[in-house]
Amino acid sequence: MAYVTKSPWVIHYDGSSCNGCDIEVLACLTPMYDVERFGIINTGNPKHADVFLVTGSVNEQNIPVIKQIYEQMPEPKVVVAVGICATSGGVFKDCYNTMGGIDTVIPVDVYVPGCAARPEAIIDGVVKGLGVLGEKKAGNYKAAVVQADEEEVEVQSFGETTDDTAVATDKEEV
Amino acid sequence: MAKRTIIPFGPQHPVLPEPVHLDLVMEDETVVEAIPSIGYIHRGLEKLVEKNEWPEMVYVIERICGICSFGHGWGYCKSVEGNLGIEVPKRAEYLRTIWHELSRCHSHLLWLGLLADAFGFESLFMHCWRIRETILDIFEDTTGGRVIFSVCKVGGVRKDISNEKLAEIAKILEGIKKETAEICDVFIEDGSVKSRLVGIGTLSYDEAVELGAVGPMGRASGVAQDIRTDGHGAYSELESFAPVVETAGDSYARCLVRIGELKQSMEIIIEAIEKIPDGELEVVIKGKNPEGNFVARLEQPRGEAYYYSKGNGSKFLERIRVRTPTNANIPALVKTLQGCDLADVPILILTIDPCISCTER
Amino acid sequence: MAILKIGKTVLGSLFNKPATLMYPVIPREYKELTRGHIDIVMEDCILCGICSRKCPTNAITVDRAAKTWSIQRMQCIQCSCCVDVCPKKCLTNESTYTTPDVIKIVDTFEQPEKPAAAGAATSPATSPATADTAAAPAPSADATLKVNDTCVFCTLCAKKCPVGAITVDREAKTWSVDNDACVKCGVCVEACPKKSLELS
Repeated sequence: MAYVTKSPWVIHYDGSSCNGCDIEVLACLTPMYDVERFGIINTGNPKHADVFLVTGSVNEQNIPVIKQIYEQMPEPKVVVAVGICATSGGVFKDCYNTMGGIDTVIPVDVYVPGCAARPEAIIDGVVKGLGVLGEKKAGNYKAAVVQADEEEVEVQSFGETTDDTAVATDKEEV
Repeated sequence: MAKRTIIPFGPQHPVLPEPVHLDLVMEDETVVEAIPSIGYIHRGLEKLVEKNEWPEMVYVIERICGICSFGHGWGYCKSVEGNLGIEVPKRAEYLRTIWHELSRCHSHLLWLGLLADAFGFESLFMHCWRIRETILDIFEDTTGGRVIFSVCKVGGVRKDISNEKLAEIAKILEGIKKETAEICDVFIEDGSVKSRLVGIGTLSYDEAVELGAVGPMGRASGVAQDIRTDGHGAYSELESFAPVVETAGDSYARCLVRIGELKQSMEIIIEAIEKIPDGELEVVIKGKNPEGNFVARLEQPRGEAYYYSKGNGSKFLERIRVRTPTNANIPALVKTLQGCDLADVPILILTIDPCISCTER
Repeated sequence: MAILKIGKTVLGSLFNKPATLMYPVIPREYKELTRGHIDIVMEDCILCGICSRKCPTNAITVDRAAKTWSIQRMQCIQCSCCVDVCPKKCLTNESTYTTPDVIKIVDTFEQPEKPAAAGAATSPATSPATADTAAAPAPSADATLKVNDTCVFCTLCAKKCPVGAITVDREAKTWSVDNDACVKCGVCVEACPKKSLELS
């Protein structure tokens, strides 16, 4: 497990999920799993947060909300998609109102599987996300973002960026 | 005349686990009107009956809501079993009742924790969720999942609980009963809790009947309606069950109703464990497809839920419709918000025990 | 006094061991029934594709031509539907969950090569479940089920068929199969006590 030098704060949002993964995220804060030992606090203010925990297959109405929260978070930030609905749409993939996962709206760094995702898996996912956060801070993070359709791979580099809303500065098709 | 401002509340708010948006029309610090706008969780899953055959549809219906998951599975199965005209074996009914009552316990403990967190009582939040973890351990031991069980199927249940395990569960519940009784009794007698809950958000008996409040929201105002009295599942044979009704109609009364139900649920489970008969777990259905309409009703932790299904003899159902209790409680919420202080808004939203993912399916 | 009422809980919090599981440092022990991820015994798989048809999220893909069975880990909801419907019972639900990752993991399993059997136009390897079918060739995608005169209309094949494609009438002494519904899994061929069925 990576040695955590700073205590990352987490913001959690339910993006059209059934609440199963959300209560497991809240269960991480309770005495049995207790991520507060690592200094992780669930905050409500996007500008205080480092890690964005999203659940749910995204709905039409939720797209601007998720984008707004993501854009308000300061760099460097990590997005962790919790649960099968967030990674690929889950059972609701074929529904008329769902987009099919968080990566159709914002770039995702870590995918946590499970329906509902176990608190242990969420802790593992956040720890992996902290590794990614460390790389981003050091300025040498190169993400391979695989889109939902598996057709093209876009390589995004997060280096010195002064733009708060920057999602990708260079895009190359591999 | 005082100046009116509009404050938007939600969908992202630290105290609110559910994305519901309210436009609060304020005069100074008092809410004059609340205009809700929902739709953040609508996934349109009722249309998935066209793609999933009716035995597999139960996996979709279970995932309408993570907190009331077993209730949804049971309601759907009951509705399709009514359409097929089959009767489920007694042991399966008892097992379903036990799982549903355990669901009710965990839901009420979750609610109590969130309510305490909403008014700053963080240690009660931690204690309630710690006790709730014991119940989730029981779920994992008997069904394999902590939140989504996938254990109900049309015709019965998929897994059995052995009699030794049932005896263990009864012992664990005796332990939890004492702990929760202690914590809840101190909670409801506390002076600062009373000052924040008594007299806030009062709903009179006539208003509750007119607005159609269901579940603990209605029972706290004196509307003595509990669907478990019609005897579905094993309820007709269990004596510990009786609807918990209060008459004051304010947030404190709703709190008392839910705490009463929590304690009663544990009694019901212990009694059901003593009385459970041996027998088959399911009825095998071969070559028959549902045809016709059927409505099943269930008492979810939040109130009365309807499950309607319509079949036309093929492998795919034609239509299903789920009407959940929060859907019926939102007009009552809007009424109670009129005239309250801004600081009371999160508490009032929590007293209806909102489950917006149930409402919007 | 309130402090005496809550005394037991307070003393418990002071003197009992902590409720925290210390997760990453102490690995978690799962219960027997915990649903984590799906595992397959590829030697028993006959690539009939029933699991991929029944999967509510279409997480499983069965490729008969390439002889592979693959599952998208980030799409599986661990409902165990596939485990229940598999005619060969080669799927199991294990307790450990798929670890979170930066990419969407897809696990593909290939069917191990079997010694080639005599006859049959198509590829070798079929279920080695029973010794008497060891020499039976694998059914190809365009094979059809045929019955010969030794059939006694016992209806065992119809009962075993996982998709209900066979109809047998004992009184009228008729046997018929719906070729579109048939998934060529071969369960009926093995179940027949008179060995009157053939997939070719």
